[in-house]
Amino acid sequence: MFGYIRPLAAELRVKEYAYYRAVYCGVCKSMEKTVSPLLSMTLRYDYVLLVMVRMLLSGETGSLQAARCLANPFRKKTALSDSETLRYTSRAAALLTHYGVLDNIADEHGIKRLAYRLLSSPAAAMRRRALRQDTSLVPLDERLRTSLSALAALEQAGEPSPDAAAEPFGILLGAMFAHGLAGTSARIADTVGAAVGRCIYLLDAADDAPEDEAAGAYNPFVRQASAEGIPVRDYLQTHRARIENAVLLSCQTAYRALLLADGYESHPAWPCIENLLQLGIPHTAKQVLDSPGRPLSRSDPAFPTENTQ
Amino acid sequence: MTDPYKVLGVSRDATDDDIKKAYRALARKYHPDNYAGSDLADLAGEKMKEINEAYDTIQKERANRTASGGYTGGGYGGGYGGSYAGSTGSTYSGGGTAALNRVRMLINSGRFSEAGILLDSIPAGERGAEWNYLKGCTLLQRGWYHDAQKYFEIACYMDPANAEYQAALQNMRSSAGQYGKTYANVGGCSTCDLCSGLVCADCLCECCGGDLLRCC
Repeated sequence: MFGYIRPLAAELRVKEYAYYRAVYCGVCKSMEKTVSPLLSMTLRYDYVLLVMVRMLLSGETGSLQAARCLANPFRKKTALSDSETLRYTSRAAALLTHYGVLDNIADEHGIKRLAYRLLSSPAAAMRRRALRQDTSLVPLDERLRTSLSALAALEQAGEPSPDAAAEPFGILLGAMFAHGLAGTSARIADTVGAAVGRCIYLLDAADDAPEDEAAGAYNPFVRQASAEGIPVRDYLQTHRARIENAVLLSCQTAYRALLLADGYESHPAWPCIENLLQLGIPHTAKQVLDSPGRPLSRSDPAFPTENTQ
Repeated sequence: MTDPYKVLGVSRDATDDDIKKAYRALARKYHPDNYAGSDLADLAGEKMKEINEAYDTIQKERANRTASGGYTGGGYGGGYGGSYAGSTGSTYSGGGTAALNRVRMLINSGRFSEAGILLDSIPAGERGAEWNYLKGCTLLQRGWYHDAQKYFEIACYMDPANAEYQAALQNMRSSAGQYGKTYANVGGCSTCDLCSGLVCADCLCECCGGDLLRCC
């Protein structure tokens, strides 16, 4: 995950933002407790959406508790109490982290590659622990592996279509959102995950495009730009509406899918999910396309800061 | 049977107007066109059916209660029921080669992946505006919005006078624009922002010996 799925906090009510932060803290604590404190260091905002969507679809409202953690040892913070949804998210994150580290070892060079090599052993241990704790995750692990292999193969082949390149990540996230759910809920979760996965891939590709162009690394937007014979920054500017519309329409697909969930409006997570899909992601897309490659503003009051725990 | 009032999200003592408003809002939300080509189209159809039935039930119940009840049945203005239930997507028509006509037929019957395979089998030299348009249609259904828009743009560029291609591109853009409206309407400069901005500018000017606003 990349941290692109953030709320537009200024548009949330105080209690809704507090709930969002409580879920974030809950995931962090659950990662620490269920898998490893090391895993909680890989936590990104995107996981909050995964937890909230699964809670909404399973009808679980969760309970809040005040708790201390490593980041806030002196002051108690409100966090979502540990639940099956949080434990599942932690284990799924452990699987994804393992494959992410492997992917980075293959992609990166020099000191970064060495750092990922050092991380590969603890990441593999976290994956093993997650699979030992819940054997039903074996098929999901296989799907993550095959989706990421498909993505690597597309990148290796220099796939020029951003949507084709985004497809495996959409499938991967769809599987992560839907795992263990049944019937209608599983179908909705799969649609939401796939649409959000495509958004994340497109935003990440646009964000990395100038850097990838300079490094000569694969990026679908760099491929599109070179086909038109223009620098990638010009491509992103010229076709900004096309990319922005693709992100908006994917968000719309996810949003409309969730409207089909029973009792969605009365779930405490709904205002946050609605904010993420209608405001947060479009805001991130605007920021990324305004200045690709620049870190997302952390001082922006619209966003929660990194030390929200 | 589910409480029809609960389905429409209104109380039992709601006025006829409130019920009609709630029904219209739900019908807009779950309109089959919103889910055309989606894997969840069947769920949306079921939801729409439930809403229509709830509305019909309430209308019948109210018509029976009042002697002068003018309700004739069949959903709101005969509207969001029958007529929308079938409209799960646009119908693609038009001329073209035999292969492209077959593609159109496949798209109209919802066999998008077969249509995509057939399109890809057409040699690059024979891919004109219609090919690009049809390619865009198959990609749109898969949720490949970036590429779909690109192919629609190429189709419009190759044949700018074709209303069908223009409409497809316009539909995509307006759909994204409609969804993005919520974000576009956020924030902005309020009167308070304007006043505090002017006061700050005045303070800065006064620090330098000047004056921007004489009144403060």
